[in-house]
Amino acid sequence: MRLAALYIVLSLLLPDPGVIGVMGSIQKEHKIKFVYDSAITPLLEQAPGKADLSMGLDESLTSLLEGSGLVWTRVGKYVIIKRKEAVDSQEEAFLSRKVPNLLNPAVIKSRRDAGAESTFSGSLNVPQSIINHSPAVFGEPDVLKTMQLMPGVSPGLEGFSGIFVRGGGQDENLLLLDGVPLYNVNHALGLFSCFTPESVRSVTMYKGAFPARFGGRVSSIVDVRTTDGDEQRLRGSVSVGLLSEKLHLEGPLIKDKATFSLSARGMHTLLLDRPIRWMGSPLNYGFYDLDGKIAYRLGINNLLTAGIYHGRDFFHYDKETSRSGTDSESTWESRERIKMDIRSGNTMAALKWNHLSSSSLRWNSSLYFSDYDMRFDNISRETFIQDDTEETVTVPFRQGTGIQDAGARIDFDWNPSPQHMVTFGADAVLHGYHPQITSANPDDIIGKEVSLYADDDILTGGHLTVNAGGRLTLFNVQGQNYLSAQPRVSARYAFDDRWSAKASYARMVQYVHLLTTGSLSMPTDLWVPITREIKPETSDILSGGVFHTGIEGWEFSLEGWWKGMDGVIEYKDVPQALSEPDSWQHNVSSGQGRSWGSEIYARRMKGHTTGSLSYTLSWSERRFPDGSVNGGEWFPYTYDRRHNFNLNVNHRFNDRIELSALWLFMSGTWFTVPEGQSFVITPDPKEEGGYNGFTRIDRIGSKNNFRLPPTHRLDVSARFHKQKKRGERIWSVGVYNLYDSMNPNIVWLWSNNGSPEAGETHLKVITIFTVMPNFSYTFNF
Amino acid sequence: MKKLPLYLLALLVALSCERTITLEDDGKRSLTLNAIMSTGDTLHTAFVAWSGFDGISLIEQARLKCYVNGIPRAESSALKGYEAPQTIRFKARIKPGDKVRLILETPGGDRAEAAVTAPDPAKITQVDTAIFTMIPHGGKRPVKCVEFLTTVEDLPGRDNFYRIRAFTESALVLNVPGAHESHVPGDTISHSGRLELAIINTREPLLNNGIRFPLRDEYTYTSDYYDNVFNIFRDEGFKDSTADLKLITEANFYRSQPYYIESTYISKTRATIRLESMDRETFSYLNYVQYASSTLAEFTLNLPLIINGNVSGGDGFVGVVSSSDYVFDFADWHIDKAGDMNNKPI
Repeated sequence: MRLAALYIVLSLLLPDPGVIGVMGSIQKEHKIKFVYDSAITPLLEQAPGKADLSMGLDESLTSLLEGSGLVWTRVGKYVIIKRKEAVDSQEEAFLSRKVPNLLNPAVIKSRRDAGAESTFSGSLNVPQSIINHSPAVFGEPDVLKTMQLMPGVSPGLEGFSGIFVRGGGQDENLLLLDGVPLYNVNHALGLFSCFTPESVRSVTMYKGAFPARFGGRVSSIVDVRTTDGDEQRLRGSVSVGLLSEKLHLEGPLIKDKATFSLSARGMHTLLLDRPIRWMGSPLNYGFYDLDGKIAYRLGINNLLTAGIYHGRDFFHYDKETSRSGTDSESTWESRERIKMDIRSGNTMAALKWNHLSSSSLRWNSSLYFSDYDMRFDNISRETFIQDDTEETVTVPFRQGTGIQDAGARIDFDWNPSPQHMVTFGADAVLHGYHPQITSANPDDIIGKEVSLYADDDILTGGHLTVNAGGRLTLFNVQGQNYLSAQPRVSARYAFDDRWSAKASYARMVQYVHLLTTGSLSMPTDLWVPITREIKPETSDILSGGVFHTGIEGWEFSLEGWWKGMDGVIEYKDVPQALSEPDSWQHNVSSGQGRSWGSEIYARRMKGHTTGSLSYTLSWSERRFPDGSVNGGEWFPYTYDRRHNFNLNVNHRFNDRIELSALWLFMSGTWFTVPEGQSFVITPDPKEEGGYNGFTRIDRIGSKNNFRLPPTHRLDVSARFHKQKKRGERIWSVGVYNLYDSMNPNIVWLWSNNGSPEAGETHLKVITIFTVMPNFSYTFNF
Repeated sequence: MKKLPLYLLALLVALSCERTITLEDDGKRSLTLNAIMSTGDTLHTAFVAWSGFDGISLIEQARLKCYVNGIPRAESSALKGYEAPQTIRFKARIKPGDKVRLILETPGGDRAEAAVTAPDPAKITQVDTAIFTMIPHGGKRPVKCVEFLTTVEDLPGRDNFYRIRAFTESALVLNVPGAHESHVPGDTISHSGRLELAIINTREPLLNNGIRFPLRDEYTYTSDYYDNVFNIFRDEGFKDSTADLKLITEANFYRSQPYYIESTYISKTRATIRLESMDRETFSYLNYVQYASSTLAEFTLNLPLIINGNVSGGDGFVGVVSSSDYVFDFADWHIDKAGDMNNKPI
């Protein structure tokens, strides 16, 4: 993510009294210059300002800014002050390069791609502070669950991590970790996402207008950036929660040259595998994440980073049962052993080089590799012993799916004049898809994707800012070329400093789909590419809204959108004959989708009380003209939640205690239920020419004909901070679903289809996440 | 601490709650009419019932009318059967291209009707036969099989949907070697009849969606697929052209004969390969039916199963298939003691 800002460079003596005065003294004493964005002045003024000039520079600066939410970086004789979470390395390098030239002009312009002041509607930043304060299942902060609180975003199942953006599907969101796509970001069937919050610096979501550099999904882009590491000192945290433990470390490797960041997270069950087996349990489940990054500064114009992520889920089951008996003539014994292993996960590696060519041009190049794989091994061995004979039958079963990406990209930022901020670049990706790997059908599919893009953020000189551009992508698969042009245009009109309006149009194209058979995120879900038969999915998104930033610390927005989709796929109501997993192409249908709605969003980011409120009113429908789904008629999308309301409040009483509360309400999802019973006739092979048999069936008029009950709950949590000698200790306690709302987590149909008796059809609704207390212990150092 | 995961799991299960949402009966019931007619038959059967929330129920009185090209050809109110669905049989000769309309009416004024057009029949231009031994999918030992290599000529200029079937018609003389019930040694039993053969379609890509079956890996595919038991197929891959279908049947045409029969003498064996042409709706209906009856439908919870009916005023489906037969005699073939077809004399 790139933060855009209006930077004001202060190179003059700062007036007394207060922090600004102390800063002036420090400038004089240590012969340095402070550089910072004017927007952080209020935070700066609230800083303790207790610097002792007799201390060294580093100690003075640390004391000066302690607890202010600001951090400092030294670049030569310049000390750059910034928000802790706000500025990424690109801006920092950019700023550093600009400093010598801009002491006199004192103004640097940079582009802002997300938030109320950007040209792009439907884009927003989610800082780490919000992620850490959002209540969640088991008390584990989670990036994607925080995203679910954003306007236009809803979860699939309550309590799980899937996100459905503006009526789109789960697979229509591109999840980027430091710019590299990840395909299955879930742990524990979707209870957690793979992003370790401690390593996340910022999250940006695009869901209406999209910068041209992004593509590949039709509903949203979620750009997760991890921290490069603290340049000043070694710091980190250790955290133990109900389910997992986490360790985060970051700091300088080489002073003023290199930094590192390292995060690890694992379920307790990883460490307790042996005791669990010792206790006789035949099964165990666990997951872990490892996340590391090294940043190296080559002079003032170059920044090299190397990042890696590796996360795995494993499920293990091993059980042996035996039976024996005696009949009239002999004794017998039967032994059966079933051993099952499921392993799945992501591995990602990326090398990046940020370079400032001149005061108006910089580029960022990267090479990356991303791998998702799932392996399912099952072996059952049955031995039957009778008298002197022994017979053993062994049935092995192995199955797997996977997807690999190897890519290279280069992005340019060019400011030819104060009125134009141009981005352009190219990326090339080689995709390897293994939709289903069995011993019988080892079909792999290779996809080659090349994209060129450019856009220009144009300041017209008045109140209007326009971003116009596009993306051109060529995708080759199975000898077929798909060329797609994706025009993008956004405009922002600022009525004054407080009010603005935005409108945008974007076309997005997607070349991969996720085939799921249920609501949970299963490791066996199939990522499948487009093929000769299955065309790319496209979306055309119109959106617009009004924004207000006139109250200090507050943001308000009212947005509306319409989205048309073509090429969405869904399993047919009835698969083709001889259907089995390898023939997924025969069992899916390609159709259309449409969604529309409006969103209200308000958030407060400053002060003792912070939080957000969002309400979304939306519709989402699908249609498959070939008639293979719902007879070709429009039907509501499963996750078409009409109303979605979230209120999230965090209050900091003092330095030691803060309370958080979240209340949400969502309309239920759709479900298909039988409306009665009927019958079909069957060809009877025993009678020549006759179609003379029949079988009873459930009569279903249309797909998704029943809306499940709504979901609502209240979560509360408290965090108790205490400054210790070596760092800060935080106890966090909370209650998920405080008033024990019976929300539908799992639903299935119970029917005695086939019986001539009266129908006994009803829905079984399981609530997993009832009232659940949680706690965690964190030590920051 | 060591038992923490177990405690957590137990806590999760203990706190999980199940409740039931009862689906409400809207009180509506539909007059349901199902029938698939064939141009190869003159006697047709319609299945009728009331469909409702609580199941299907008997129709006390109803009248079925059949119109062909607007001309009434049959009318019947003879409901047969004591359980729903009941049947109504009617006679009508239907030719390709005929517009057929069925109307079901009750004395209470309920009326369900559907109109369909009999499609043009495609042709079978040639059938070659061979006998060989193979291990059928999922089987353990080799069996003797007959292959009917059938050349089908597609109807040009449109998407076509077919069903392929095979019949044998034989006249046999069976020898009874020993006394058994009403038979004494030396008795002979004359038997003739027509039998529809079960087609093994795992080696015919048109009938199995091109899936490569690992013939010896009998465990890989168990409940993951459902068999194309009706042998329906589309003309994808041979549009406006011809296709050779490998129709394999086990050669035990008469294995169901009584165990005390020692030898047989075949006086005549005739085979019929029937190609039924149908429209897309009938094809989808048959595909639905065979899926709904499969174990895959039971295991996958792959709801919903929505059937596209074409009956207005009620529920159900009416279709017509057009048959094209290729009939030939087995020259110098016979059925051996095991009941298998053979192309060498005993």
